[in-house]
Amino acid sequence: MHVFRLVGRVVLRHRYLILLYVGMLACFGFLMASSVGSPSEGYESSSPTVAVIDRDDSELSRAIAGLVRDGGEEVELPDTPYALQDAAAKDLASYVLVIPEGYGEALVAAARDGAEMPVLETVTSYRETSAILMDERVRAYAQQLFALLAEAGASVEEAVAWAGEARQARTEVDLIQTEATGLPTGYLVFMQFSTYALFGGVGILVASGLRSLGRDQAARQRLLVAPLGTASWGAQVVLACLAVAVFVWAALGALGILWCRGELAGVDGALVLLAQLPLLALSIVGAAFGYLLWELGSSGDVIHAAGNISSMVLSFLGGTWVQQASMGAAVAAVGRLTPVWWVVSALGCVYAAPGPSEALLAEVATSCGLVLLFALAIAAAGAAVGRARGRG
Amino acid sequence: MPALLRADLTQVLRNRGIVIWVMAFPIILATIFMFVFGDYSSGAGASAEVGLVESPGAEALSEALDALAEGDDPLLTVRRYANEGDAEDAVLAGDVCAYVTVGDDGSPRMLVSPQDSGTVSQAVVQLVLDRYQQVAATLATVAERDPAALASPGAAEALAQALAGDDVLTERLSVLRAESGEFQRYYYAMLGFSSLMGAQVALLLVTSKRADGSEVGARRQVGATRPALQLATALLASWLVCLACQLVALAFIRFVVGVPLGGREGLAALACAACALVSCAIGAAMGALPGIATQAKDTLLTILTMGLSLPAGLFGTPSLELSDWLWANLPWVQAINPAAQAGEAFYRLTFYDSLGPFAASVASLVAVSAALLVIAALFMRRQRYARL
Repeated sequence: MHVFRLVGRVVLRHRYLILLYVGMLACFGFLMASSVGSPSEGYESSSPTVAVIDRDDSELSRAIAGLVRDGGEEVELPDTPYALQDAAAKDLASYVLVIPEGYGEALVAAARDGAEMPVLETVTSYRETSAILMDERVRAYAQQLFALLAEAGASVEEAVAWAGEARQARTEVDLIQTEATGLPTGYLVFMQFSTYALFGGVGILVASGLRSLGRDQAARQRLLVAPLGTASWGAQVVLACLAVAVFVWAALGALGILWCRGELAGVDGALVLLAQLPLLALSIVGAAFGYLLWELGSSGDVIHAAGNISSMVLSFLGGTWVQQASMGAAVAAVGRLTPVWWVVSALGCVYAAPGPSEALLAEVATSCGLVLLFALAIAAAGAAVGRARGRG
Repeated sequence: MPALLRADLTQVLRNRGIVIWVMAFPIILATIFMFVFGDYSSGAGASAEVGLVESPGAEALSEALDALAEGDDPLLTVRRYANEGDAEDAVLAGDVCAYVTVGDDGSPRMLVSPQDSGTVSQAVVQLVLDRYQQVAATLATVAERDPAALASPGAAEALAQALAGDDVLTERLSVLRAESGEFQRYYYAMLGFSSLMGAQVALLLVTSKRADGSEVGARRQVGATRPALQLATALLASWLVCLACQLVALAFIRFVVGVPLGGREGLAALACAACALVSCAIGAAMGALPGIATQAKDTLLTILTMGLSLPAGLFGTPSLELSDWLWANLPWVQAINPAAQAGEAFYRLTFYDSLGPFAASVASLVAVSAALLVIAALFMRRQRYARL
């Protein structure tokens, strides 16, 4: 096993690469996981950032403004065109309600005398979904005021008071109580981000390591004259590649558990292990990719470029950066042809499951099998290229 | 000087790493963005699937939900379950986003999966249920406070109809120079990332001129050409290459991808010039650092590029959220981050009427460049004689 040990040692001697592709990317994953926030005990509906510009300052407009402020996280916004542009462009406020001057009086006139209905103005950012939902709430509340003024003969004060009372009637929303605790979202994000390092990082480490071994003239000469069969040489190189993959996978796994240990408290260990299986399979694909790059005789620049660009492409298509459910049919169809898709899909299944089960194990095993098939195909291509180059 | 400049440009263009990372990578990344985002669906318009547990007392709610499940583009799709156990299984399996039960007092209760809560579909269902309850609560309040208002025949029905009506109007104002989209920020962040990648050009040229950077550099330092002139041409060549790469990337995302620049393409080219300047300054500062091997500088530069691009919002939704949080809570961190300022410059140029914010971003890029170039000059001046 001299070759195995030598290859492993040479690969792991690339400390800069390990720092870059394991240390730094793990830090990125941790940062991303931290930005998700800690899991809550109860249901939390999405709460948009909101702002109100009340140019009317009537009793009715103050009531509508109060509804908006209670329904989201309020940000203060001056009544200037620049502030409105700033809010919409940067999503400082997903929903800005502008109540025009005279709105209250006009609403009363519309309700009592059938005058023209006044219009509330809104400015929304690119986060349209939460803005649409808030707009619906505003319209429903203003409709309540209008109905009370028009059909119940209520005064403005009564309409505001009665609508305010009715507003307290909210639907009770609870989480389903399950026996087991599922994986926390922060840990899922960390694992999804680690796919970049497990494919690209492992690939670059393996290819760079094997390349520098080939460049070392003295070591190469000694290896060439060693009484070692081709099969044994190849098997030891493959084993070394697998060892590097396992090393990176274990390092990222340990860092992830260490960083997310607070959130993971109470989570079934079997679930964590199940989530790690597809990642291990992906690291083997990364090793196979590195082996292919080495057999292709790639230079250092090409190894780094191929590793990073393909990692970025696979991360995108696999659903690491944009959810798989949000992808269009054509992109999803292409995404399924990549190993990261099946890894992210398996991670999603483990995340959605309240606890380990046979069905979940079967689902994860199927995804891992598919991912390993990618590894096999890439490694076979690498071996074929190596043989062809050897003959040439 | 023209001969030196030509030699530097040739040296850059013959470096395969530079060609891939600085020239090709932004275009490859923009193509991926175009491919993935072009077919994206936020799911906002999709019908929310909700489960309803059938029970005595749930008929009124069932009718109300059915009314919203009709038509070509229904708001809800309602599935019915005989008991709570089946509904719970359906939610945990992801078949429906939530299930609803009706209590003895007729008020609905919504239950969601602990692993999938706070979604848009659930918010839609919650909104529908809230409105259902508030209409009933308003009728009850009026009946209690002013029974005379509902005394006449048909008054209660008229009020109920008005409460559930759609008379109130809201109008969305368009305040930005160009239509804003969720994914345009990725393209601007990508331009910031590519401007930092361009620092490799200056790093390559500066280390090849410095006595402690490479053997060639040591020979060049004792040559007839003044070292200051060599470094000046290296920086000029870096700036030209970075500017050309930025302009190509900008043209690609503007004309191929179709990302708007608010009709200010000329000023966008000016922003590219500022981005190219900051690239040169970062590369020069990194190249001038004494006592660090060139390979280590290369790695440090990559870490710096990725590290600064993360809070600029390049790496997906969590990265964008981090960027927003920093802008809201620690704006000075973003103000000195050239990747964030580069992306911001294009963003502000596109969407704001005033050119003030754009000018602030460009000024920030120039200030960061000036500071880095001063640092680089200090290191170069101090190291040059000691080394030789």
